[in-house]
Amino acid sequence: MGDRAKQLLFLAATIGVAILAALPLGLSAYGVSTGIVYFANVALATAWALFSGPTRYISLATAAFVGVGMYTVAFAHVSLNLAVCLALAAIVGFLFALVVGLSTLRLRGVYFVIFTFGLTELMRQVSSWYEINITHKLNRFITISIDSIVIYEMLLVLAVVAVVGSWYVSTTRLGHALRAIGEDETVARHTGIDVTWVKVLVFAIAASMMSLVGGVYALRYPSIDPTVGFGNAWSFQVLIAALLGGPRRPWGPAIGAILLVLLSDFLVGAFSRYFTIALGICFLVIVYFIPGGLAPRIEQLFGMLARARRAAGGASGAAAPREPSKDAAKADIETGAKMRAVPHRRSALHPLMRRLTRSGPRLVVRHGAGPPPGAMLSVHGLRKAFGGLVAVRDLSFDIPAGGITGLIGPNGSGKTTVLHLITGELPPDAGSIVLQGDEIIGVRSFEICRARIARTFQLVRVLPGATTRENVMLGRMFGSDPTDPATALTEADALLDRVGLADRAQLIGSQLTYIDQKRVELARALATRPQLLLLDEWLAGLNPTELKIGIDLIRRIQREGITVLMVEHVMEAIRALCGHVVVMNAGMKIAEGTAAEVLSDPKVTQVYLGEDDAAA
Amino acid sequence: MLRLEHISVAYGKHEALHDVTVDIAPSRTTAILGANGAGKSTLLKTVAGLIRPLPGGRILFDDRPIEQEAPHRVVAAGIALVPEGRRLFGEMSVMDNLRVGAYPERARAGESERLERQLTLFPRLGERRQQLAKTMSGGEQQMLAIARALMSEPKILLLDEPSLGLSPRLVSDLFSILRRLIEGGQSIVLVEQNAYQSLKLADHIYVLDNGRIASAGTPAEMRQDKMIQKAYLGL
Repeated sequence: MGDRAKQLLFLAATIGVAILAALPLGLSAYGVSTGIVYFANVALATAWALFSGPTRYISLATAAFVGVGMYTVAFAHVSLNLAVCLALAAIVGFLFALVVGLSTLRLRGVYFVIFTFGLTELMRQVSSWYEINITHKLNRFITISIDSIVIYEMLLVLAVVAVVGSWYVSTTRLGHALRAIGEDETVARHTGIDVTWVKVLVFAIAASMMSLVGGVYALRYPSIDPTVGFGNAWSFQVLIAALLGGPRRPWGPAIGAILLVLLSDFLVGAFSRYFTIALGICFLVIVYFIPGGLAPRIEQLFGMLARARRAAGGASGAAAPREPSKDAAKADIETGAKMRAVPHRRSALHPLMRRLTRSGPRLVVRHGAGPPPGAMLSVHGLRKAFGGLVAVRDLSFDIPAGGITGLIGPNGSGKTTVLHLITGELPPDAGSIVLQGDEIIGVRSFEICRARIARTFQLVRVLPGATTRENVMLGRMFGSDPTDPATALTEADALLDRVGLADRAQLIGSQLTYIDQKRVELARALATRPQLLLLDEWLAGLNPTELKIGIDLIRRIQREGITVLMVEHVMEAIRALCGHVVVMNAGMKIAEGTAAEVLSDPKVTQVYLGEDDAAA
Repeated sequence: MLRLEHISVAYGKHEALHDVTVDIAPSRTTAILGANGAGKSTLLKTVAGLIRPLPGGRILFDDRPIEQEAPHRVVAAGIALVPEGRRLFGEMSVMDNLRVGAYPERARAGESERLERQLTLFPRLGERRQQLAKTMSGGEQQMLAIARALMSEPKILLLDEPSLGLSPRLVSDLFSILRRLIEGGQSIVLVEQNAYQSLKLADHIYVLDNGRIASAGTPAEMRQDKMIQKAYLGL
């Protein structure tokens, strides 16, 4: 979409909101109450998708947060004024979600869904118990009388805030972090993202919005009871609305919510007795035919229209397209479009900034006058057991600063476990790991990344739904020297150029070949600006010609001042690159020295090389 | 025995294979060389029915078109793929992984004999019958993946990068096992970055470049080819 189209869209949206705001003056009471239902659903579905859309943690706790808001207002309005009550609802919802989030966001997949469902049930039971046994009245009266037009306007504001807010979040670092968490939490952690904090914070922000909507909504009723406040219908309606509209677009859930309310109204009128059956059938049809939601389809349609118009314009020689059409638009409607907003925004808004922030060809950070002397990292007495299997046993070695150290050994000898221990992915049972004088055992993965240790994974972990460019931007946005998305974008492109992926910046991770995925991982690791780079079989699966290129690349990385530890089975690379080699077998170090020394060691030949390679 | 005629495959706009015609004779080993991204894995996946080719191409197996068959029917017809990255059933034991391999109807008779044969061919698996697949080392997993494919009694075995991530010693173990399979008359199509080993093992070589067949011939011819030396052997 061009700048002009964007301005028009913005204008149209503003006028639309203004009309909606003025509308109640001419509407019947029925019209106003319909508007209230629409806006509440838009705000709730958008808030739900703010967290659950990108992270893919499906929450059924919407009703719990709505209910908390309603009950906060119901309790507080007796003694406090309305504005304070509503602020209180938002705060209570936020704090409640903070507690819930801290205790549950470790849960994944179906367990999280069940927990949130259970939370709503629990809240309903507890509130019923309280009202029956303590106050002896199930209904709690709301004694404020407030014009429904005011409720209408308040909910309109909340809906607009929710949509604009979640659009804004999606363009920030926080938005990138949320998507990374949804794609692969492990990668997110190792890229420097404080996964727990991001999840809990956004979960609580979304909950706070839900409670606020609940608080306002409660003003419609003369009284509330636990089934109104904590009714599961809230949770399911919101979920369905978001899925219908497209949970991974900021404006998708809003569209879904509007359509859902429309559809329900229509079905109630047309099939009053069989309403729920008809609604159910509609959902099945929707989920079957548009699994990603409507928003990506609509974007695709607009993209096609824009391209058709450009093609027509180009034919008549009128306007050349400002930006060459990007293939990614069509490539993957589910995920492909989501990143386009950022590059476009950037090229539209910051031509000057881009020039100012462009770095030179050398992107990897230098440490002043060269690598510091001595050991970059010292491992001492390291031990890790999985049940009865001791994967790493009393392991000690140093990684000399500025050099390339090789870690070799048979499959299953514990090499990858050592990398997991260094990066905080696994806690060791005993021993110490010292990074330039600082003990790093017990330090969490994201902090280790920020302490400038980066890694790649043996089984390649590129975020499958993110573009090549976004994968690399993540490293720059959350690594040891975090930047804003715009700077990260420029530098990501330069890094991609360096590993030979410049022409594939817009492809989705899952569309890349194996070797390209490995390149993306390396670029992402370099983007975090490491002083120590851990490579886990990065050269595996290359043919001899590609291997030479790979070896050259690693050597250049080292020459720029980055210390490298490489786990590798390709002896050619070990011989060519490593000044220092550690050999492991069954969790223990069996040899250490220069490549020539260890590769001629009979122990190493016997357990690792076999007879063929010993001669070579 | 297996013939691909004018096969093209596209991922969205990107054409991964272009008009590929390949002939695979019985009891022979065919190796496919090519840079990463040349389309080698795509070729194997297309044969296995995991990817649909564009209209206009045909895949004939024993003179029967199979390009529209579902993957499980391709296995039933006698083509087994050992995918890149092994793809074992991690939570299942070695024995269960092997038994699942014999799922096709054709492979059920004689299942126990074949099981014994695999355990002889891969003695490490025999020692670890009850171990869960995910807890095994990379080398053992690769052996299990091959053994599982063999349990379906394939007429053609497709191997996608079997030596990936294996230690030097395991790589030579792996290739000696493959050599034994070939001596036993197994037809194999091999995709392997280890070009030297491929040239040693194969009877016939195809070279893929950017989704097209760039050249074909015997290993001896390939070793002489200057372009091949430069592009794939790092000479």
